[in-house]
Amino acid sequence: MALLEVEGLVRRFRGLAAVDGLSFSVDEGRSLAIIGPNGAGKTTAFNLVSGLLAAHGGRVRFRGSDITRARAHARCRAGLGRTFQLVQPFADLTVIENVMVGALFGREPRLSGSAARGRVDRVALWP
Amino acid sequence: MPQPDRSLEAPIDLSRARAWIDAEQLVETQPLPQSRQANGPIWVYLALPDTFRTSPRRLYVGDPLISALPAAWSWGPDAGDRPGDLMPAVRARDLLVHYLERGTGEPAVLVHGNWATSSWWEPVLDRLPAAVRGIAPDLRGRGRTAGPDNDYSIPSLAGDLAAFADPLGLERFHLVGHSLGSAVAMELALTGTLALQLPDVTGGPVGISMPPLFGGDRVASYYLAAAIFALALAASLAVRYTRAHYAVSAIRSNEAVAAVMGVDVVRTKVALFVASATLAALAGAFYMPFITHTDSQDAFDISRSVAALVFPIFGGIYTTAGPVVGTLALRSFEEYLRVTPPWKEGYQVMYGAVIVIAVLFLPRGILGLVRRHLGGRAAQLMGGRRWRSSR
Repeated sequence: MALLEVEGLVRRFRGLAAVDGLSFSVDEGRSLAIIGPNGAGKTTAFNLVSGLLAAHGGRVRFRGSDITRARAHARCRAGLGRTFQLVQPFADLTVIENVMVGALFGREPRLSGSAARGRVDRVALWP
Repeated sequence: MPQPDRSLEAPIDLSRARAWIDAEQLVETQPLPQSRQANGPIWVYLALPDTFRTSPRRLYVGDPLISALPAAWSWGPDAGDRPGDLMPAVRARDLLVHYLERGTGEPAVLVHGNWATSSWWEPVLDRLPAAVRGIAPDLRGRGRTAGPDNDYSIPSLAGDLAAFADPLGLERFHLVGHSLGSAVAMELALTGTLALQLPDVTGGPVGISMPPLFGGDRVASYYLAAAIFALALAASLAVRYTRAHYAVSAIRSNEAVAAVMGVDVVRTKVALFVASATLAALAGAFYMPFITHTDSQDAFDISRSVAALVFPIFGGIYTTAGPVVGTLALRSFEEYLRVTPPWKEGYQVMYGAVIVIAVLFLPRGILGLVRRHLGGRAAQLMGGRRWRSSR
């Protein structure tokens, strides 16, 4: 069973179908790249999979369960992460606090500040 | 109440005044006589709402009231024999508002201008078309209506007018204003609408009264206020030192990123809104029996909404101490200016200037200033987090 399955995904912006019948599947441990010219709908596709946009048609399955209607934060907690084309740190928060957000609302709701600092040390982001 | 100085009520010499009507067609079809186009400070501005419960409309040619207008221009300096003591009066709020009334039919309230009295409208009243009932009140402190020592603001005058209409049984009426009176008329048309349309809720122009809290025991009131204040502080600290801080900061910084990092944006926002609204409602529920009386003019005063933004910004937003410091500083400053020469009535100018300067030069408020000069530690003691620059 594929880790992520996308089936006939559709998203329209008024008359324009930005994503029209997109289907793909990704197996665990594999990488898949989506390429295309400007305006091809790559970002829209990512937003549909991560839940920032609602799909007008089609389905998204993650680890076998249908998440087409799940909201973004629920998909994140299920283990579906995403990043953005431009890095988007929370500018008002410290590096540690940025890490804390990811942990507290993701899969480590009990992470302490010092533990977060250890993670930051590990990737040498601490000055 | 001291009677106003009657000697100040010299009639306005309209023959030297330049009449100006806010209806071009009218000016075209009824050009002013040359002799009355002389320079002068008086403008005749007419705001004539259809019914002031709906939207105001401009004058149009053929309006029954227009036929009465030339009379105003031809009115000479002699105010003539005023009805004097025979003027009827009704109680409006705490004033006894005297007025002139002529004719029967569709009511039209004629509002005089600054330094004038109802007498200004006499030539108009004398020439009213049939089926128009003209009513010209003396505004507070003018003519025979006594007034307070201060507060001659346009909202107050409009409030008087709304209260004046009530005992006269005027629900729908034309509103005609001259000069200051037109400002009063427009104020009433805009803000008085709510008060008059929902009298069951707002108490109409009279407002709502309530017995004082704890039978007027100010000490008990003080402790209740302190308790509400403590609750607000506790709520702020609770957000600051729990996961909520991360959720809120992340959402403020970038909502979409927060969502894909697992923050339930909708839930967090709703929870915050409910918590904020609860605190505001608590404060309001305390304040109403504390001041014991309010009316629509007061309750919907825009300065309340402005204050809710300005005080925290002045003190320092995103901190616990900031709104407290900002409120104490600005309220005290405002009261100080209000009673100190040379500001007194002009205190709002100074007050406004301070706020503009604060916004320009203290984007982080007073707490930001403390932080810059005493270091982050001092600011932290005051309850603020260290300010982190993204740059």
